[in-house]
Amino acid sequence: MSELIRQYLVSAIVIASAWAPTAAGISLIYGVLRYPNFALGEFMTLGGYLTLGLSAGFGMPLPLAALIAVIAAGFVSLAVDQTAFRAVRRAGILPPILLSLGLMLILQNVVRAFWGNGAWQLDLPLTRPYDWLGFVITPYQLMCIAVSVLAIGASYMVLLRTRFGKAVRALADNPDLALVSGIEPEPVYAGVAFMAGLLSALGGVLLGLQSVLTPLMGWDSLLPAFAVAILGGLGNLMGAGVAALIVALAGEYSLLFVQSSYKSAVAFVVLALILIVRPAGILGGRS
Amino acid sequence: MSMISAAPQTAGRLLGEALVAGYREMEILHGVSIAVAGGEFVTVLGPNGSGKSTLLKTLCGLLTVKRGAIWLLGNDVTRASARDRLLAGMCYVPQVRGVFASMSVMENLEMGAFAKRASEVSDAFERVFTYFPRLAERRRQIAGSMSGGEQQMVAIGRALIASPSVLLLDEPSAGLSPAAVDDLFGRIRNIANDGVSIVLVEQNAAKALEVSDRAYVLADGVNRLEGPALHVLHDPEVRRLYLGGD
Ligand SMILES: Nc1ncnc2c1ncn2[C@@H]1O[C@H](COP(=O)(O)OP(=O)(O)OP(=O)(O)O)[C@@H](O)[C@H]1O
Ligand SMILES: [Mg+2]
Repeated sequence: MSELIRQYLVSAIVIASAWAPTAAGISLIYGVLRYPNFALGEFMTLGGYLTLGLSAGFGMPLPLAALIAVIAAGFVSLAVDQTAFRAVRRAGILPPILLSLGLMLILQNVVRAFWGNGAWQLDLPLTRPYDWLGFVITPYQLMCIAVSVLAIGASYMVLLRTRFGKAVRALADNPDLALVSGIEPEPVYAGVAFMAGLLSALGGVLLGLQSVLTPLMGWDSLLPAFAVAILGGLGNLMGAGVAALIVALAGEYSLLFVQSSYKSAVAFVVLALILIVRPAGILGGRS
Repeated sequence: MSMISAAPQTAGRLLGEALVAGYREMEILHGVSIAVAGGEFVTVLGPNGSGKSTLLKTLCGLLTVKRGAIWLLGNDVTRASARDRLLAGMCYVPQVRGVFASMSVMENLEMGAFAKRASEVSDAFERVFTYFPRLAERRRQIAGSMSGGEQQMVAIGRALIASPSVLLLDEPSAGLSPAAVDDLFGRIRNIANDGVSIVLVEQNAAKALEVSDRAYVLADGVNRLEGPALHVLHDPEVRRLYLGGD
């Protein structure tokens, strides 16, 4: 029993490391552009498969393949934002939601068309797991956690310190005041879309490192990632990190009580419970 | 209501000529005109919903001009973006949500200078701190956690950082105590005395008119009255409408 409890803790932290960047992307888009982007789950899939394609297909070393993949996904997100989403910028919340659903289907089917419906594995050299006081964790899992923490931390610092980050925060906080302060919104929106696409794709790469790639990996992560983003407070990147841990812990420890097929429902229950108690999320909105 | 303007009059620092504007299909301003000279302090009065805020939003570039023209320092800015109007010398403080609530006082001021080079605004911070010394003490405080009066100082400070030649202020006295209103209007008068033209929208008609040079009265999106502040202050209709009668 106590070994299970240890192992669930490790699994929760590891899966949280994949959800957190995606949730940060969702949070960022919502915070600035004010719509839930349901396509960001598919950017996870895209990130995972592009990494696969570049490493297996072109023989690139995995870190380089992953880097190019997430940057490419960022540019895909930027391109879609500056064309389709930009065209409906002033049309309210519904058109961008519908667009994001359409984009979700397109991306999912593009991945299927290239790689089929089966599962793929990134080509990772075999390693020996570490065992610390009964906590068993593989080097790849450790790497996932480190990369995730770094990505969230770096994004946070970008928002906090850079000129771009200040413009992002100003637009999220008070769009009209940002306009009359001389901020041109479109380049900022483009940057936000790039960051969100990149972060989500990174979440997909991390997920791929932990398990296998399937065309539904992004779809399966969508609900938990949204639960995490909302729980963390939409627009709040650090909140996304903390919330990812909470949702993942709840999901893993629920296995002590319910069958694993109910695991994804747990994310939803946690979300509902916390929203009832604190509608703005655990760490409040924005930052 | 049509007004045919001759050769553009460039003597004024800010001119709004027969402005028609509003929200989407809804027209609110049906041809409002306003003229402000250099360093002049102009107050705009009018009942709730008469279009005062709409006029300022149109002047600063948040709303598009359907007809009419806006001249700033002799340049036609009718179609210019809010950013270009700021760079041309006009800054705006909105009626509500005039600060970036999640940002510190310093960050709010920095945002006001966002469109300018750091070298262009290096003195501006000191100048804002001389108008509002309290802001210098509270640099690190998050604006959303400040009192209403302090937030209003941050809001005006943010607009002043870009060193405007015209400052548009929408009801900065809202929610302030009478003493705080006197204090604030005194500071705004100082800003005007330093050569910045002021367009102040106000509900506190009597107090605003006492410190201003000239005033406009709007009603239902048209000019109703204009003149030297003291004339407007003593106009029977204005007294009846805004100053509680007698
Ligand atoms: N964002 C908006 N969308 C649609 N209509 C608006 C909007 N803002 C204001 N209006 C309408 O425009 C008219 C003029 O509003 P405006 O805010 O300019 O009045 P005001 O003179 O500033 O009033 P107050 O003294 O109450 O601030 C009102 O009828 C108002 O309902
Ligand atoms: Mg108003």
